[in-house]
Amino acid sequence: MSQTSKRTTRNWKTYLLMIVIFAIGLLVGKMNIDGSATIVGDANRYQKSAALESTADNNVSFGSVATIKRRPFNGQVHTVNDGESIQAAVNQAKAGDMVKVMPGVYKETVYIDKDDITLTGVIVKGEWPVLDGEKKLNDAILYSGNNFTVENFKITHYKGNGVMGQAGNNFIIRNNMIIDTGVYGIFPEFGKNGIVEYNVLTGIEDAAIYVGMCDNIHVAHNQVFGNVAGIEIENSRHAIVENNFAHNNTGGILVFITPGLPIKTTYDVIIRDNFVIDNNHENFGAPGSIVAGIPKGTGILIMAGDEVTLQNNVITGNNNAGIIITDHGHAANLTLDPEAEPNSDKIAILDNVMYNNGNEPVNEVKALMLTKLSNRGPDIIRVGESKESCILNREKYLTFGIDEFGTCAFDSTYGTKTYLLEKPVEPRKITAEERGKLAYYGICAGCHAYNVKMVGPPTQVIQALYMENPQGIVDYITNPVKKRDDYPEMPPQNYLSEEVRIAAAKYMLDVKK
Amino acid sequence: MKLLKSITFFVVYLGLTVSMASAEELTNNYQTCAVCHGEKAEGNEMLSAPALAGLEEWYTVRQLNNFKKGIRGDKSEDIFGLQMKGAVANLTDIQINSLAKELAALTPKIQTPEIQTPESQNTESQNPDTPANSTNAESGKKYYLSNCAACHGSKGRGNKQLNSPGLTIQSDRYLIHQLKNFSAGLRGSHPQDKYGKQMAMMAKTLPDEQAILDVVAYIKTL
Repeated sequence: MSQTSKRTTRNWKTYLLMIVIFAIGLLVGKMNIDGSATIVGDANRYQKSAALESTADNNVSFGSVATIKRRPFNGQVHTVNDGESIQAAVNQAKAGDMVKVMPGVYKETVYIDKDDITLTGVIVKGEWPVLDGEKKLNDAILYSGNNFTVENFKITHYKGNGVMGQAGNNFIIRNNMIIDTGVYGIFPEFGKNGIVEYNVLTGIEDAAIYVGMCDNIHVAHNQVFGNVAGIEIENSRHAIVENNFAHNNTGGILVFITPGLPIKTTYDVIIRDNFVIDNNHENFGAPGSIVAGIPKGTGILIMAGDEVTLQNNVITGNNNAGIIITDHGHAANLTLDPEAEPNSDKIAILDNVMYNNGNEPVNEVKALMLTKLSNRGPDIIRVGESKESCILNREKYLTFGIDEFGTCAFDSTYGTKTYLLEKPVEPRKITAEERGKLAYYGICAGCHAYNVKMVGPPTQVIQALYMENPQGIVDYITNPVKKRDDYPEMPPQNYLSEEVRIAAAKYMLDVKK
Repeated sequence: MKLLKSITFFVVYLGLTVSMASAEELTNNYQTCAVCHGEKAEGNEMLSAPALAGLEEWYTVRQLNNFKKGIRGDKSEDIFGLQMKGAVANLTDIQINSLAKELAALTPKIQTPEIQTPESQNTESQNPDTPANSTNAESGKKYYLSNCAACHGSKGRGNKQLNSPGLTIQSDRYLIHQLKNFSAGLRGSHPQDKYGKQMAMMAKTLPDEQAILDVVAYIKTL
């Protein structure tokens, strides 16, 4: 390790020397790489998004409070007491019903595959209903139904996910405490129109809040600490992350395009009014996984995400760097995806509060900063291409690589209150052919990227292992056994019908990207 | 080139018949193997013979049986595979099993990446499997972790449950040669070679020769 990192540093330095010489050349040639005089972006970017998008049917931002409208409640209430089974109550419930869970300890996985269910914990004198996986169970709550609400649970000691959404739309996940639950804390995957708010999450070895392949999402008022990644917006569009407190994670807030996932873009993300403080936790991600490549001390990391706007965040005490803007080529543990655009373009850094970042930068960053005659890591660093990006008040920060950034033509995002939809998304109509695809997108792709180690082995490897044998996959996922020391155990998928399992397996063997 | 190899073959053969008694850990079963694979089963680059010392017992059994049944060494372009097929044709199951056990018990010799001597550079133009000077282990690492580690392990130690052998005991030259064989369909294309087919499919995900060299360069850092 030390050998390779030394070599990398040396490469960086040579590279840098070339850049410096090139820069001097440019200056001598009286050319200007200072982009501050260039005005970038439309002054009304966040003012008129409603008007702009009104043509695209119901894709309109609205109102002043981030909320998802629910139908008036006229269903039945099913109450679960300590010692009873939540799943049994869910099985009894019909669309539109509420399952109320009283304080107590529940050692189970709850799977909700019907629409319009509200799963609500009842907190009595500070006593919460607790879902305890005892380090044996994989998932606490899995939902694939639409219009699902889960609130007021304490979830602990699961190995995989606290709350995982599998292609459910119009979800609300709020006011839960999720402690030490393995890979992902709250993980809506492939959902549209959803809220994640007022949750507290800690001890998660990948992302505490992981918004994966979603659209129209609001993540607000959460506290994330002691995780590898605090909040991650990945391969998702139209998301707002605001008023969260991310502290002492390895990386605080991440905006990524992860290569190898079936949906290839991340854009239109607003990160505002968050506290991103002291994210200096040792990285305890699974070796070789993407998040294991995040250097500790990283406040906000943007990798390949586009149209990401940062406003009014307090970013302090992150020992590597406050904000890192990078591309796929510079990221560790990644192979390129020819169909995913690798650069972070149209980044806008509006006014933010940043100080005391970069006390202990990693070697690569240190080498770059030496060219700026600084021993400290930066508030903002950009490596890799970033077109049409801009910043305000650049003189306030110690920076690297953003001289070319223009000056933003807009100074606020508050004109856009939310990206949640005015009308909930209609339920999907799923044909038999689409069943496998939906399962792959909504479930498998949570851990298996096509050609990259995310959590499980890459899809490409699985294709080689099983080739013409989808039944082999079905047999394995129904009752998995641990085969790899450096990968977490595959959770059983036996809650899915045989039909869905075989459809997913066939789709997985056919997928090409 | 071929002539050179035949000559070395004989030189080595003569040398070994004289010193055979010193191969104490290995029983008589191994005598024929030692001719190419070395008396301590350390492998021999000149003969493109891989190291066998420390090879997993189950892996040796599988490969010897594959050679014997013609599942490996079934392509005329695969010269070394054909040699092996001929060499093991008469081994009995009992011999195969005890050989595999003996070999697995040996301590593998650490195969350091090849140093480019003037002589080896001379033969370089004729031997396409010689590691290139400009390999990039960092770039190879990305391929390795994404494409290889899921079965061979992030440290390259192999995984019996996934039928994948350890890689670290082999020379870079041998690994490159086999990756190219898999990629070109010289290995892992027999319908009964289930695990070979798996490997062939993964070898083909490496886009070009440079990627093969890089990934092997990374394996040698493990």
